[in-house]
Amino acid sequence: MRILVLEDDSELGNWIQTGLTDAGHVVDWLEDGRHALAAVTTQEYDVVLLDRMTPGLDGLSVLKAMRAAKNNVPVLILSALGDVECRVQGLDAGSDDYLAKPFAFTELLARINALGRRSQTGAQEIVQMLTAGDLELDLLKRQCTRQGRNIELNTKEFLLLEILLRNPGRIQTKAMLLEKVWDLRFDPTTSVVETHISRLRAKVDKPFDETLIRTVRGAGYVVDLTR
Amino acid sequence: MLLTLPVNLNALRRLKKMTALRQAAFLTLVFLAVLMIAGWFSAQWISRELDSGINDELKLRHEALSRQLKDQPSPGNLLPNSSVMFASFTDARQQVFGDNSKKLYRRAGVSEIEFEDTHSDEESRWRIYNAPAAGGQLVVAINLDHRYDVLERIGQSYLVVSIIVSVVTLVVGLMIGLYNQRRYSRISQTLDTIAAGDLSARINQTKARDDLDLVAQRIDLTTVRLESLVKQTQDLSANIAHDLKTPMARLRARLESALISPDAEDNAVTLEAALEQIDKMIATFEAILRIAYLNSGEYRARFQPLPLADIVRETADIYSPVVEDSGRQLILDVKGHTAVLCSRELLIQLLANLIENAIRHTPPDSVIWLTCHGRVLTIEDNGPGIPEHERTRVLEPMYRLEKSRSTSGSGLGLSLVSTISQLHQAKLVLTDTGVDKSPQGLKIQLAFPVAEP
Repeated sequence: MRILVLEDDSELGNWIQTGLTDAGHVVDWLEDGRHALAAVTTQEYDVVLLDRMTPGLDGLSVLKAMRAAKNNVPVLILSALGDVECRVQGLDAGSDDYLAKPFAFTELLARINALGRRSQTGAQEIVQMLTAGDLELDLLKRQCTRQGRNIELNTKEFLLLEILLRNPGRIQTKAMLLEKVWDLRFDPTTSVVETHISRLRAKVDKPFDETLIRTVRGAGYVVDLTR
Repeated sequence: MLLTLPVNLNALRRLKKMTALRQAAFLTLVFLAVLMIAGWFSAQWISRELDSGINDELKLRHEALSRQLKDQPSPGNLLPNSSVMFASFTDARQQVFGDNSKKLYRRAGVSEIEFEDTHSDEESRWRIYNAPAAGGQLVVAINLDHRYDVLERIGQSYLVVSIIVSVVTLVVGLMIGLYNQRRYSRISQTLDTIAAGDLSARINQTKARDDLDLVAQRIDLTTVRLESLVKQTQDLSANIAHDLKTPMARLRARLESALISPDAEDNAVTLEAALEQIDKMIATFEAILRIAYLNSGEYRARFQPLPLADIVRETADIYSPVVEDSGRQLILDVKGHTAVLCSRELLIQLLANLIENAIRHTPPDSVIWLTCHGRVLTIEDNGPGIPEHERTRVLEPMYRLEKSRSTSGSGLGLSLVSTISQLHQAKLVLTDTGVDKSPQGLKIQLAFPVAEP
């Protein structure tokens, strides 16, 4: 993917650029908000990363200008100001996601992948059936079957599995799952996500030979069919 | 001389600035003005009343005299003759009795003349009534100077009253001013001491007789709160430093050993552990910033009326597997469907903190009761509880019971709970668990206010 990064801190910017390049993306890293706005209007990007506090023009203003010009590239706001108010301001201005500094690189990468996929598929396509190997998830009938056997899932377990299946091969971090499944944006000190994943696994994976939900250490969970 | 003069000038200036005295002087002026206007009006009124009284008396006297004069052979004896009143009678044969001045008969009816009567050497003002009586003309005269005497006396009495009232008002105003000045000085001296940094200073106004005393009491209350906040902040910074030193020491040790070790695989493990320590520190800072942000109160604008029971159920859904996996039990009891003005996210975080606390500080096999009845939310456990004298202190940021210093946690959980409940204007009470459930245990109760429409 082509990614534009607006970040005025050179060490952090360098770290993001190197990391994303290593992950196979093409990265343009700019330090000035005005340059970023110029770049985003003249070139095509798949994802744009904006820091909030930047010289020239701040990230939020760049975003507003982009959205005013009907530029709908997915935008991820990076900010040292991690609180809800800032998140809401970012979302109001038209950002697609928000990440508070300091963050783990795996978290950033997972979120960028999720955003990039959204821009590729365009509008959310309506799917009735999600499949992963021998597991089938019927979104209309709210049914889960594996090898023809019916698996009883409660609402949240169903949603958790649905999110993992909708993003095959893409890591879902704990924070992303907390946001998408439970609509929570704080970090619980206990293992909330782990517990629910292990319950889900007990139903979906344990009675069968092949493991569908894989843990990526230090990052999150993924349903990966290539292995 | 040189020294005392500025002091006196200052004293004078202070006197001029004294609110009570200025008010007293102003009120005195207003009062005097009102008194003068009232005096003028009453003088007018009294003078008019006196006039008509004199006229009536003249006519009455005239009538009585004319009746008596009818069959009287010697009218001269009947006619009054004093410095206040006299009469003159001219009978049918043009014989004049009493004063025979021509002035008296010049005009018929009531009139006023300047006249020198037999009793005094000076001319004085008289009112006369000239009308026919007993076949002749009868004139009755009353001295008007007495009337002016009365008017003058009324004016004088008004003046005396004015002076007395002004002096009394000014003196009382000065006394009240001086008394209030002493109270003002005490307040401003205390405020000076506080401004200089001594937050233990108090005005100590125990009795509240007026608004000034109330203000003094409020200042004391504010200072008490300020002092405890400053104390908390000082404790907080010390505790932050203390609590961050441990993970930092570990972090340093790990990085150092990674630097020395030649084995790459070992290093990966060490560095991962180092990252974990950093995440812990970040979480601590996040919690501190969050509490500070919530304390600023901006958050309330986005509160919505939501059913408390729904939020409790949702939290129980998220946390009961976590509690069960930890070997404990979560018992949910929800009644009613009352809406409270709240933030769903903050309330879930509050409940999450309380549940996580209960998991962390109770032995395995403990029971956690989560109850929601109407607007009251309760979470109880049958763990070791918190000693009574520590119950308010555990709500302070970074305050931790000695015995729990060794367990994980930032010491900010309950403080965040307290901040969130304050933001919701909910009443937070920590007590023992009821006897029916556990002899000790901790019971945390939150009573939410009625949601405004």
